[in-house]
Amino acid sequence: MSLQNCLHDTITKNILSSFFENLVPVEPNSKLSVSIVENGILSPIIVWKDKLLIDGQQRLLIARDLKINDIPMVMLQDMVDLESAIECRLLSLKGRLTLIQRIKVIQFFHSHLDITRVTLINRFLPLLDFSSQEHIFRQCLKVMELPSEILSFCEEKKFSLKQAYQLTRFSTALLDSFSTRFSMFSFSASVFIECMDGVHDYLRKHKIEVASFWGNKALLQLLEASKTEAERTLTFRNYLKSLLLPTLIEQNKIITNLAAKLPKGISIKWDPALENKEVQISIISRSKEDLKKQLTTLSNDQEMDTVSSIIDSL
Amino acid sequence: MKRNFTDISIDTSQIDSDAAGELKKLGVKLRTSKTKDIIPDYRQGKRVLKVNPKQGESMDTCATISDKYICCNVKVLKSVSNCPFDCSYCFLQNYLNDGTTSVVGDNEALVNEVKEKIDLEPGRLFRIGTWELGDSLALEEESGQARALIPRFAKLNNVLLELKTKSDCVDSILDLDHQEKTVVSWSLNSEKIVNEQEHRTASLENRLKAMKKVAEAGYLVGLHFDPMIYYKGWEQGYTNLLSDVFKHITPDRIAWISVGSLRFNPEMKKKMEENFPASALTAEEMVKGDDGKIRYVKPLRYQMYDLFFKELKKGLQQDDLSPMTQIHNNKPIVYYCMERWDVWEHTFGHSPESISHLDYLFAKNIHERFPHLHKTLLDQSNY
Repeated sequence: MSLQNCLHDTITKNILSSFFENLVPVEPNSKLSVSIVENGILSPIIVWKDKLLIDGQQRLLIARDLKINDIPMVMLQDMVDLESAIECRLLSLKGRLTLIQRIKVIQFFHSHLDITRVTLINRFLPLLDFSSQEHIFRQCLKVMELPSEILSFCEEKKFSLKQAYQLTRFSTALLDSFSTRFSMFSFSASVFIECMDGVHDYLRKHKIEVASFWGNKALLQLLEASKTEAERTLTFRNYLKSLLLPTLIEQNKIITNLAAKLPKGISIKWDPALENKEVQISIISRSKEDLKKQLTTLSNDQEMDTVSSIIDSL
Repeated sequence: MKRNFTDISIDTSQIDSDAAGELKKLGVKLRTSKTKDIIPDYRQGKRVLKVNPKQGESMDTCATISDKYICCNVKVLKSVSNCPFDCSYCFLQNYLNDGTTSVVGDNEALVNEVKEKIDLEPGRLFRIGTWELGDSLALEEESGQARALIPRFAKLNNVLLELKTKSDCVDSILDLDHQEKTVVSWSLNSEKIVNEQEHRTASLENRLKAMKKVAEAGYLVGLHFDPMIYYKGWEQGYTNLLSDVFKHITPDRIAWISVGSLRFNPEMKKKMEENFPASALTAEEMVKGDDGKIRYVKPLRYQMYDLFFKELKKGLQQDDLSPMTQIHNNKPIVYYCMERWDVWEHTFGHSPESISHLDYLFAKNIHERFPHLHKTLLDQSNY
């Protein structure tokens, strides 16, 4: 269908109107209601070619509720083409749409309207607060393939496009396994991605199915023992770390045991990622004498050997 | 190696270039183009070849962004962009803004820039590779670039050209007058990794056969065992690899050997998983280092390096591989690529003092083993 045909196609206009109405369902604004009852509709609503509401969704809704038939209206007729009309509609919604709503707009335009990809990217992405880049367009379409529960979660947790897009590399089975457990955990966007990523890595490394992972007895016991959602989330994150970083955790345990051998008042810090072969030693002292005593203790062969063993372990 | 490019074009300014000649020989009807269409998808770009003019400065340093990781200070000549191969760990998938496979047609201009820059520091031996954004030899059939560069570098004084490849495209360079000024290097990995992760590259066997051919043609050879990859059976995989390598090359023809392990930035992890969903390379035990790159945890790296260096010592028949100790004819410089100083100490007993020091150690090794390649007096202050 060419753009010219599209301009004259009532079906398109109807689809567009209902799309926007469903996209941003409005709750009646009580202050505006009072004002309309007292003064009527002062500012006209704007409609394109009888069908597409450009501006005035609230006013129209209240007028319908109040059974007001006399609605001032500005009609944009043949002077304005479809793309410009859409542009006006998007401008009226600017700042009011969530990420998922903005992505829905892109997907809708792409699949229902005869608008070129270049126009979508260059003209409409910026109006929806995205940068006008091909990969952003592709990311939007990919995000819309996520299960609806995940999309709702992204909306609720205010995911960025980058964060939502990260979820698209996970299998539907994995996504579903998390969405059925949302009530068990207290995930922020970043913790959710961290956990998804962890399970994803574990499944790939050990070539096991999602169901086997969640059915693991040790995991089930740990989750059952946790009282709150926050506690369960923390337990789950630690469980994942123990699965994903066994060598690191074992080595850190060895170092922690060595560090415990140092006398009271002397503490040691190291890079838990084990990348930096260096330690930071802290001494707590309350006087010059105290400091002398601590330094003497630290320079004992036994303590020096402990520190040396820690450094060797890094 | 026949490539299946769906589109080959040449910039109008490159109609008389070496690449144009090679393409004509292949029977390609040249389509000239002045357009600069960008192909954002790096895989789509692998099907489109363009011969471009040299633009801006092409010679740069292959630099690290963190001083905690020691870099060898090799220079790079940006003469090719993207690659017909499709390695699952390739950083290009997260690096190129334009995925179009392109080669620079102005070989003379490339060499002129090199000459201009190396002449400013005549006391220094430069190593310059053409592999930063692609494979040095994979497109040789279409571009003839190596064939054009090798004789030109043969006439330069203080520089070695490094052509690094995962291909076996060497036949066209065997007869050239190279004066040993070109080091033909191979990126090598265990057979399992070559077969499962280095898609569309030459088989290990064919790479080693090609390596033997260039050595017999008098070229020095470079070996890059990077990235070493951890998988079930890696021990046998890398032991076999080294055993196979030394059946094809003798230590006295090896200029240098680098070793490194798999590393990538967090964004790249996502790209790899997206582009190669069947690969589990990114699912191993890894941590983020000071340079922002994710690597195997150090105890795993040590396990891999310890075994590797044990086998490398056998292959080179050397007990001491340190680049800082005495140099023998059969002792090429062995170095880590992008590893920490303490990893160097773990393996060699000491580490270079700096990036410049390692650069100097390269020159020292070449100077002592191949004095005709670096005739100027060796002076560390030049590095």
